[in-house]
Amino acid sequence: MTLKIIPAGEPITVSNINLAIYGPPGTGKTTLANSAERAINLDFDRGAYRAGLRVDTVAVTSWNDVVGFTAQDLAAYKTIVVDTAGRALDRLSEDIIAENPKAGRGGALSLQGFGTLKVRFAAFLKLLNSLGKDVVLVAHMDEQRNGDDIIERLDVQGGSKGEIYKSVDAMGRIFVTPTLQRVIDFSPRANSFGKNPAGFEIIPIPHPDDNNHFLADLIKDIKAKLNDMSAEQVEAQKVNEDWITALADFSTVEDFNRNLADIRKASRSVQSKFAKRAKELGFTYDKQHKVYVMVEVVHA
Amino acid sequence: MLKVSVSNLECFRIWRQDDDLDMGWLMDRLLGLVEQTPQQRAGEALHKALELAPVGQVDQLHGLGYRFWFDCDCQVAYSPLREVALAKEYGDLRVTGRADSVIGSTIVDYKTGIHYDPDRLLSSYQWRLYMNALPEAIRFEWRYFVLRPTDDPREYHVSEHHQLSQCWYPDLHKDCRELARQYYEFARDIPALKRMAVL
Repeated sequence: MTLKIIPAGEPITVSNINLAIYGPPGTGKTTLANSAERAINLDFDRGAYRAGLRVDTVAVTSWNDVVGFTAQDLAAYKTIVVDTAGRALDRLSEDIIAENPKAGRGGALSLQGFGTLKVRFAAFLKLLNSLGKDVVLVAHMDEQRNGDDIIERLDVQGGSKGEIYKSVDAMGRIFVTPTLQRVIDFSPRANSFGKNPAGFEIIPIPHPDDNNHFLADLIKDIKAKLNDMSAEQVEAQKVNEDWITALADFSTVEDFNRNLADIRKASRSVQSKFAKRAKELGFTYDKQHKVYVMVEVVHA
Repeated sequence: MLKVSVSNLECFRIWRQDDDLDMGWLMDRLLGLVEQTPQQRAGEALHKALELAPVGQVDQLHGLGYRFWFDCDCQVAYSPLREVALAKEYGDLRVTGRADSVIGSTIVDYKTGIHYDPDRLLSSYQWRLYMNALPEAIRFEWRYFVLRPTDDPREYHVSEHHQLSQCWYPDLHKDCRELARQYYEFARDIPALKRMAVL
């Protein structure tokens, strides 16, 4: 078991993503999920028949129904809808306990069982991603009271929620506004969770008769933004590293003053290191003359 | 101008939300009167060890006289930008912090503890305040190390490593500004906070 410290990497092309959507019952989570590109619904919750938009559906009764998926089985589909993630984890828990009774206690998973659950669920998502599929995890909403506040979050058992948070690239909450408009909000709020890499505002959800590819479009936008972020990230890191290397050689006031115009265009984190390095060398910024000066030491 | 650290502003937010926390709990934290627990001291040592770690592969790290054994596999990216001081002014309140590492446009925050609770990390305002103080940041990443003590008080096992991330979102500044406003309204009339915080 080791810790690996690696250099910051090259840009990573995002070709498939994991997305979580959650919300109260009856807000159209399945309908929205089914509007993803060439979706197949893994109906763990036995609720897909209520969806306003029908797609190919697998009625899942046990984990065995999904564990043996091959590339060929899923070749016709681009998006796998896990509906719901909470029920999928329940089915997986049953499977783990059936395989190893010691992994459960009174029908619930033991600590060891939870460890297995996390590993196997992560492996399942990885398998789908390795087949080039987008995965939409549909979840019910859980309300947790905190003083006078109600916190809305994914209704998924215990520690496995962490696996979902970890694996999703974006997470949106569906709710109905006071004007009865169904919307999806990807931003985290004081009382709810979200992950919004595309920087979406709150988005009204169209009726599936008007737009049956709504989620497909959102996923496309999220991927484009994630790819931009990846490229920006690498470029920014290169610029930062160049600055840090250069700063290590700065030794005179002139070194700092010569680079003042450029440092103003640099990232705030590099500016912070620039100021720190100047201070270490005993230079101070003269705000009146807008240059660095040597701090004069007056001996008594 | 009043001044507050990101950590203390987060304590203020927790205190406001939790009816069971009294004023003494908050003031002890804001005035720096709470002693570090052994776990927190170990956490600080692991931060230092990670700050000094070069590119490579190790099964143990040393920092501030502590030794950490890695019982799990984990991978972290090296960045020369470590311990980056951050500051942001919200009206008459200056909020300060220190990012463990900045990799391109990602802020990386190392956390340690005995129990990984992603809900708590995601609900916090620490990541929001850091991102808002660093205009180039578009992503925030937590690296959470679960520490297990040994018989030797200066030796710990890293038993789990968790990775979690968040992103910039359109109301980020508004949310941070609102928390800062609430704190300023609270702190401006408390002499002990005014005394220690005026720049």
